Amino acid sequence: MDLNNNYSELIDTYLTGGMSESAKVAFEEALQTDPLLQGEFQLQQGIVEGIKDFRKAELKAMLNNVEVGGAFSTFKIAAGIGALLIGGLSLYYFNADKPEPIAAMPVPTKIEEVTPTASEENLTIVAEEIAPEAEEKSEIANDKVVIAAKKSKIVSPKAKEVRAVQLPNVIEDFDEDENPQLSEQLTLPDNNLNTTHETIIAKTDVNQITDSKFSFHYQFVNNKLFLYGDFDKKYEILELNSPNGISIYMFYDGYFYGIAQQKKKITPLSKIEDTDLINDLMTIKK
Amino acid sequence: MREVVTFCLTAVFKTKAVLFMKDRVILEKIAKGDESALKYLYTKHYRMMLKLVLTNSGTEEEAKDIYQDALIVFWQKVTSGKLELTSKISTYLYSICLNLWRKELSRKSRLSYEEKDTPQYPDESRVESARIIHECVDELGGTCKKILSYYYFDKMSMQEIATKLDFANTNTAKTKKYKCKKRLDALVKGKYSASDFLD
Repeated sequence: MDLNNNYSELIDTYLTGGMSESAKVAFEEALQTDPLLQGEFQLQQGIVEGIKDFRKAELKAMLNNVEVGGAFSTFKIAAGIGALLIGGLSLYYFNADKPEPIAAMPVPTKIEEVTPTASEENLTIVAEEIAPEAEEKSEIANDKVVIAAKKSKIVSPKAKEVRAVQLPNVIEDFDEDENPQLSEQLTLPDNNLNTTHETIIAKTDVNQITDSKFSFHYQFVNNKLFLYGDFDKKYEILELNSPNGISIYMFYDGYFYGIAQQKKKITPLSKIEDTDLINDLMTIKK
Repeated sequence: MREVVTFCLTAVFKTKAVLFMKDRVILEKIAKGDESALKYLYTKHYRMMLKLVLTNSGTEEEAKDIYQDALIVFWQKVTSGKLELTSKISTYLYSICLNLWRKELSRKSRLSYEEKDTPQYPDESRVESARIIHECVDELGGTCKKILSYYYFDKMSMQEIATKLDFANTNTAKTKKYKCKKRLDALVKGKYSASDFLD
C-alpha cells in the first residue's frame, strides 16, 4: 500500500507536468523496468484522463445550453427598442410641465381669541386667504385642499372684501367631567347585546323540580321556567337580542344552555357549542 | 416615476456593460474560473466561428463541436496561466478553430481512405474503461468533482482552488484534493483490478 502511495504521488507529479526534465527521464526509465510502477501508472493515467473528459463534457454541456444564433439578434433588437423607450420616457419626464400650484381655497381658521363685544362695531371675523408657502405641506384629499393658515386677523367691514365665515360657538371652560350624560352619549353603542335584561328575565319565574324522572330538562311556558333535575349549583338566566328576537340562555356549572321560549314540552337542556355566541354571553354574564 | 426611469436606465447601462466586455476583463474572469465569461465569449463569436467551418465543407453540428472544443482549449490555456495573448481573443479563437478543423478534415479524409482498405472498429476496452471512470467520477461529491476538475483539467493552482471553493487555505485544498483522489482511486480499483489496465 505504501509503495502504491509513493507511486501515486510520483505518477501524479509526472502526469501534471510537475517534474523536472532529469526526473522525468529517470521516471520514464523506471516505467520500462518496473511492472508495478507501470501498472499503477496506467491506472492513474486512465483516471486522470477520465477526470479531464468529465470536465470537458461538463463545459460542453454548459455551452450547449447557451442560447445563440437568431436569439442574439433578437436580443439586440429588443435591447434597442428598450433603450428607445427608456430614452423617450426620460425626455418626457425631464421636459414635462410641472403641475400648477393649486389655488388656495379659503378655509375657516381656528381663532385663538374670540371676544366680540357689544360696544364694538359689527365686526366679522374672517379668514384671510393665504397662499401656501413653499415649505408648507399641501395635501389633496377628496377634492379638498387643506392649507395650514399662518395667521388670521379681525378686519373691519370697510376693509377689502373677503368671504365671511360663520364660526361655531365655542363653549369656554368646557369640562368633560361636568357632563357625564354627554360622555355617555358619546360612548359607542354596544353591539346587539341587550344590557337591560330586566325585560323577560325579570318577569321569568324560575321553578325547580327535583322529584321527577327528568334529570336535566326544562320547560318554559308563560314566562315560567321549570328546571327538572338536581340543580344544586348556582345558575343564571341571560337574555340576548338577535335578529330573530330575544333569546334566553341559562348559565350553569360552567356551560351555557339554550332556553326555547314557549316550550311546553319538557326538553333536555343542550349545551351551546357556538364559540361566538358563548363569547357574547360571557360579556353579559355577571 | 423618477425612480422607475433611474432603475431602467441603470438596467440598460448594466446590460450594455455585460454585452460589451473588454478582452482584458474576459481574461481576468476566465483566469479565476468564471464560467460566465466563457458563455459570453461563446455567444459573442458564435456566428463568426461557425461560418469558418460551414464555408469549409463542415456541417452546423461539426462547426458547433469544433467551436466548443476551441473555446475549451482556450479556457484551459487561460486557467492554467500559460497563455500570453498578443492578439484579440477573437483572432486567437479563430486560429484555434482553424487548426482544429484542419485536423478534423485530415482525420476524416484519412479515415475514409483507410475504411476502403480495412474496416475500422472502435477500441471497446478503452471506451468501456472511460465509461467506468466517468461513472466513478460522477459518484464523487460535488466538491470532490470540482477540486479534481480544477486541478487536472483547468490546471488551477492550489491557491486558486482554495479561493474559488472558499477553503481556509491552500493546505486545506491540498488535503481535500488528496482525499478526493484517493476516494476516486478506490472507486475505480473497486471496479477493475490493475491488470485490466495493462495491455
